[in-house]
Amino acid sequence: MFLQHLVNGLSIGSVYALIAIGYNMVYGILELLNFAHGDVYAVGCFVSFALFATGINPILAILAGAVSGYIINIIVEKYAYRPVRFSGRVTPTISAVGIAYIMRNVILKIWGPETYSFGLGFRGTQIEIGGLVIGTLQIYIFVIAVILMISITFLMKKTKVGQGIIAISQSIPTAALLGVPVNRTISLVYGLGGALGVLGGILFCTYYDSIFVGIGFALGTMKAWMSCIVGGVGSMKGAIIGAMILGLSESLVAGYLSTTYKDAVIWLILIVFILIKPQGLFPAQIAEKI
Amino acid sequence: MSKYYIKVDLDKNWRDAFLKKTNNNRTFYLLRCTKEFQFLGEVMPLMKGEWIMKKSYVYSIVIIIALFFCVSSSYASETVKFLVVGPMTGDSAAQGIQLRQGAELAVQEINAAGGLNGKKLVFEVADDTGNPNQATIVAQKFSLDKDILFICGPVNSSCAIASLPIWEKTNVPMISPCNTAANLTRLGHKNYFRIIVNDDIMSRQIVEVAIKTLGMKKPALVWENSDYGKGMRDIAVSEIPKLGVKVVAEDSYVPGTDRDYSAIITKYKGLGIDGVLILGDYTAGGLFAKQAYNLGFHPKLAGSASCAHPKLMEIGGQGAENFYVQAPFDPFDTRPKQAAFIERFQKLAKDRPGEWGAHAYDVVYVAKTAYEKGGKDRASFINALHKINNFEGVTGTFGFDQFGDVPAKTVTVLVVKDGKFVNYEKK
Repeated sequence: MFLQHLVNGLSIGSVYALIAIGYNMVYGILELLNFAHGDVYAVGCFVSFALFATGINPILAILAGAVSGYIINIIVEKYAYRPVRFSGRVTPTISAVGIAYIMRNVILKIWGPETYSFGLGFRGTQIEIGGLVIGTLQIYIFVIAVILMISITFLMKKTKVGQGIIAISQSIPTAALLGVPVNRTISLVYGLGGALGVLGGILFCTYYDSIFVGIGFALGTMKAWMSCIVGGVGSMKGAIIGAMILGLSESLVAGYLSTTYKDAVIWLILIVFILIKPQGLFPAQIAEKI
Repeated sequence: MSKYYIKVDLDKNWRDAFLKKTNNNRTFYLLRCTKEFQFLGEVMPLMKGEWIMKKSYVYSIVIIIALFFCVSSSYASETVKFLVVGPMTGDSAAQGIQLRQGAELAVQEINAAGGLNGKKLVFEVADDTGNPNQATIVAQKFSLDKDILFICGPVNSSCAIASLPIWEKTNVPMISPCNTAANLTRLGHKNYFRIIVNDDIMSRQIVEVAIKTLGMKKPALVWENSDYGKGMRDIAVSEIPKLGVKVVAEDSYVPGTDRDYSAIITKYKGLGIDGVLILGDYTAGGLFAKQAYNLGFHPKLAGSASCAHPKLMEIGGQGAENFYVQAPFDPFDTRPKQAAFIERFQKLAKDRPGEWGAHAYDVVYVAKTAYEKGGKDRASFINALHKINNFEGVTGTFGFDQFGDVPAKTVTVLVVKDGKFVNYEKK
């Protein structure tokens, strides 16, 4: 049974990881608590869902969802975050909460509060090894999470754009002086974050074969945020491992302690963790200015 | 052409000049005075007007004002009015809209058949958004309207609890289509009735189905962490041991947030659970069934009334087969009376009636019966409701007891076969 809980936990964890990667990009680079992340990707997922319902190719539906996430986040960045970028950390956070509500209400207006079935026509099979059941979808999600992590690390470390992003995360004025196109790069980070969020969200929906308005905040923003805190802000590896730890603890707490108080126990673990290791497991290595 | 009484705000000087022109005759034809018509003022002479539609700016204003006043005041004597209260916007808007459609269908039919003793039945709709705060605001606003004979609604028990004391002050009878909180009829409100079986009786019934009919030997409970789910869980926990079976495990989930049941399922598999009772909604039921199926766990499944929704099969897929649910109304009922109702409802609403639409329809008809039995004003209407026995509605046959409950009503049990709900007795 313990092994099965472990497998369940790792699969929930890899779903969280996909969402956390996109979140971590924005959070790590701009230090903005992006409360709108979940609700923006929820809109993208609903776009995919609506397109998929019309009968187009699932791959196209996924791409269209990711593109819509990209576009929405670029617009949101331009009109909601950029004007308040230098007015402290609280103002953009409030702005993000506002955007979250707007997005949620857009979904409620168009699709309503119901839960819809949304499996992208994926019929997963199960592999059974001595009583241990592993779904093929779980394996796919795990693999996709790892691939995304590697490609983003590559983007950050080996490309000019990635170096620009890192420069901006260290100091915006210095990056601008060195000729990094600040607005364009930040826009790109948001766009990519949104698109990655949508991809994660769609896999999340496929995993549970359902989509509803709540996939954004409670299941997206909060879990992604917790994963980032545990794993270390700004670190891709950290986001993924943090998400895995979160998934595992949820699964084990629900399996062995209590489902009713699951969330309370998880948050307690998080608080204790923050007290012991406030920078997370893998803090991004950024030189502090003295 | 019909006659309307219009209240118009006019400038005092203009009014004097106008009355002089029309020889102090307050009955005038709006048609004749388009040029001078200006809405400037404060004085409100009550005038009687008659008009012909023309493409004129002034006329459109007149019509808007006229319609506004027609709706709010003028009918009084030739009509019987009631209020539909429910969540018309917000998270549970789908239920409130069905409520309105059910009432609308009944009203159309009654008026087409000659109305109530020749009087036309009309209704207004109030939106409580499914929120107790809003429900009290609605009550404060409408309880002053003397024309309202009764209320059809609300959907949420919490809204009823919050607003009943206000409605009771003006003795407005409230007939709820779908409040199921068990204690609602025991709060001592004389003006409260409901036509649905309460949670207490429903929970006992689903426990009986699970243990006796399905023969669960090692049952587990999965309940929604809300007052609704908790109430049913408490009854199930006390009732199941009486049938000689022990509850082996119980777990709760947070409605609207929890989507993952794999930990619970894995635990149940280890405990050798043979049946799971889901006291919650169709999303939880469907997801649990699907995830259990995927994890190779195949218990007997039974669920409370909120599971009885076609989405249960949509979400649960193969896992939802043989899922037993309670249904206060079966949207696929084939009995002639019910089938005819479903067809008419579909024509009006473009959707199958759920429990909300069907119960609202019955509320209007039971109110009609009370009216025809002498319930011309609020007090006699309440008395007449108490006298109703064996009322045959589309949701079943019922009569009210002294608390306003429907003790004799039963709830249908449906089972999923090949992705469709069928009545388990007819299976």
